[in-house]
Amino acid sequence: MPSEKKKLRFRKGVLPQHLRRRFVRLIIELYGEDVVSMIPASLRYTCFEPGLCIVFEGDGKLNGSLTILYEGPWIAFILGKRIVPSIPFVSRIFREKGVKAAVLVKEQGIKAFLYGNDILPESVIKVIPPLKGVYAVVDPLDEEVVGFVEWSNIKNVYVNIYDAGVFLRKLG
Amino acid sequence: MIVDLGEIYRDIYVEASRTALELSKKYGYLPYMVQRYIDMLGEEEALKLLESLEKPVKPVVRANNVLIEPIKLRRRLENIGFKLEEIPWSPISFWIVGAPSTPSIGATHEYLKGYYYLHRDATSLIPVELLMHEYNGNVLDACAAPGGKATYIGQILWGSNSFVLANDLVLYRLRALVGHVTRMKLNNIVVTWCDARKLRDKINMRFQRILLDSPCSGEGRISVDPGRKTRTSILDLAIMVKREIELLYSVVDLAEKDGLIAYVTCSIAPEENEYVVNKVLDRRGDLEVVESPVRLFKYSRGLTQYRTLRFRRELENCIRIWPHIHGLFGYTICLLRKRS
Repeated sequence: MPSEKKKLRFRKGVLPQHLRRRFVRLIIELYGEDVVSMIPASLRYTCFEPGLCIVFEGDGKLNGSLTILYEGPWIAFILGKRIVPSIPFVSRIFREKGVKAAVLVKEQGIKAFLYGNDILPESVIKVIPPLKGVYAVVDPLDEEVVGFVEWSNIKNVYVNIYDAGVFLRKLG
Repeated sequence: MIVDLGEIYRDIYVEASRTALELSKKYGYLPYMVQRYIDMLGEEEALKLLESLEKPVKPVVRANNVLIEPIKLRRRLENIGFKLEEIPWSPISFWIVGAPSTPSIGATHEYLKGYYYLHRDATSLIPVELLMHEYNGNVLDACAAPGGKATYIGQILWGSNSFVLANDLVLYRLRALVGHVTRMKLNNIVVTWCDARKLRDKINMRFQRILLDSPCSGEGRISVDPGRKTRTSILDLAIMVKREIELLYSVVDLAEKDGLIAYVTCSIAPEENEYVVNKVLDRRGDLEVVESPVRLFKYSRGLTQYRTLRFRRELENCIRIWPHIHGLFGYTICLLRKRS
C-alpha cells in the first residue's frame, strides 16, 4: 500500500476559459467593472488536491521546460467547483479602489474564523456594500483581509468559504 | 558525471572501536557514527557533542518584515504570552525562550496572517545571511522545500525586481513551500518541481547566487529528531554522499562566472561536507572555496583531514556549527566561487 506522500499528484495548467469568465463575473459583481483590468491576462493554476487549487499570474519569468507549480502573485482559489479571489488580490483592490463587499468582524469572531469557523451575525461590526452574499472578512486590528464568507439564510451565519488558516490546515 | 558508489563506500567505511561501541549503546546511536565523532573531536569532546545532542534547541521566529515590523511582531507575541529574545546577528529574528500553554507558536493569528516563519533552530538563517550579503539579484534555491530559506531570501529581495527560484523534488514538501509563500504573501518566489541534478538542462538562466541545501542525513538535527541516531547505515550514507556530489557538481553549471554557491547541509558528517566539496573541486577546475563575507559569530572552521582522508587546504574556509560549541543544530556551510 503506497503511503499518502507517494500518492500525491498535482494537476496544473492554464486556467480554463469558463473558470476565468466565472471569476471575472464575480469580481465585477463584488467590486465593479473598473477592477477587471487588475486581473492578469495570463492565469495558471496548480491543484494540490482535488478541489484545492491556487490560481496565479504566471508572468513567465522563466523560459524552458521547467515544471512551475507557483509563480506569484496569487490571484484566486478554486475550492470545489467555486472560484474565489485571493486575499492579496482583494487587498490590492481595497488599497487602490476602496473597501467593498466586506464585513468588519470583532476580535473574538476573527479568532474563531481563522480556525475555520463561521461568523455569527453578532460578531459583525459593520457590513460594507454591495450586499451580494459574498464578503471579504476584514480584521479591524490590522485592517487586513483574512478570508471570505458567504451569508447563509438557512444557517443564519456567515459561512466560512476560506480563511488565512487554510494554508496550515490544507497545505501543511 | 559518474560517481562510483563503491569508491565512496570504501573511503568512508568506519570500524567502531570498543569505546565507540560502549558510547553508542549508552546514547542509542549506530556505532560507526560515534566512532566518527571520536575521530573528529577526540573522546572527551565527542562526549560533549553526544550530551549536547540530548538537549533541546530554541526555536526561532523570523519576522516577515514585508508585512510587519519585527518589533511590532515581538510586542504582539509577547502580549499573548511568548517570551522572545533577540538574536544578535539576525535583526528580524527572535529566539523563543518561553511559551504559553496555548496557542502554539505555529497556530497564532500572527502566524496564519503570514507575519512570521517558524524555524526549528537559528542555524538555517546563517547561509542566507552569508549568501545574500550586499546582494539583491536573482537567486536559485535548488532544494528549497519547505521554504525557510527561500522565504527569507524573498524578504531580502522584496522591493527589487529580482526573484527566488525555489525548486524541489518532493511533492508533499513543495505543497508546504507553496503554503508558506502564499501565507507570507511573497510574490517574488517562483516554485518549481525538478530534480536539481537536471535543472541545468531545463532552464536557460544562470545565477549569481545559488543555495544548495542538500538533502542529507540530518545528523545535526538529532536533538529534535532522535530517530536519526539509527536511521542511516554506512551504505545509506554512501548513497547520500553520491547524490550530494552529483547535486553540487550539477548546480555549479547554473552559476554565472564569479557567482557564489552556498553548499549547506544540516549535518556534521565530514563525508557529506568536506569530502563532497573536495570531490567536486577535484573534478572541476572552475571552483574555489571562499571565506565567509561577514562574521556573524565565531564559527568553527572546516576540516582538512579526517581519518585517512586529506582534503584541500581551502576547505578550512568552510563553516562548521557544532551543537556542543554553538548551542545550535549541527550545520556545515561551504561558500564556493565559480572562477572566471
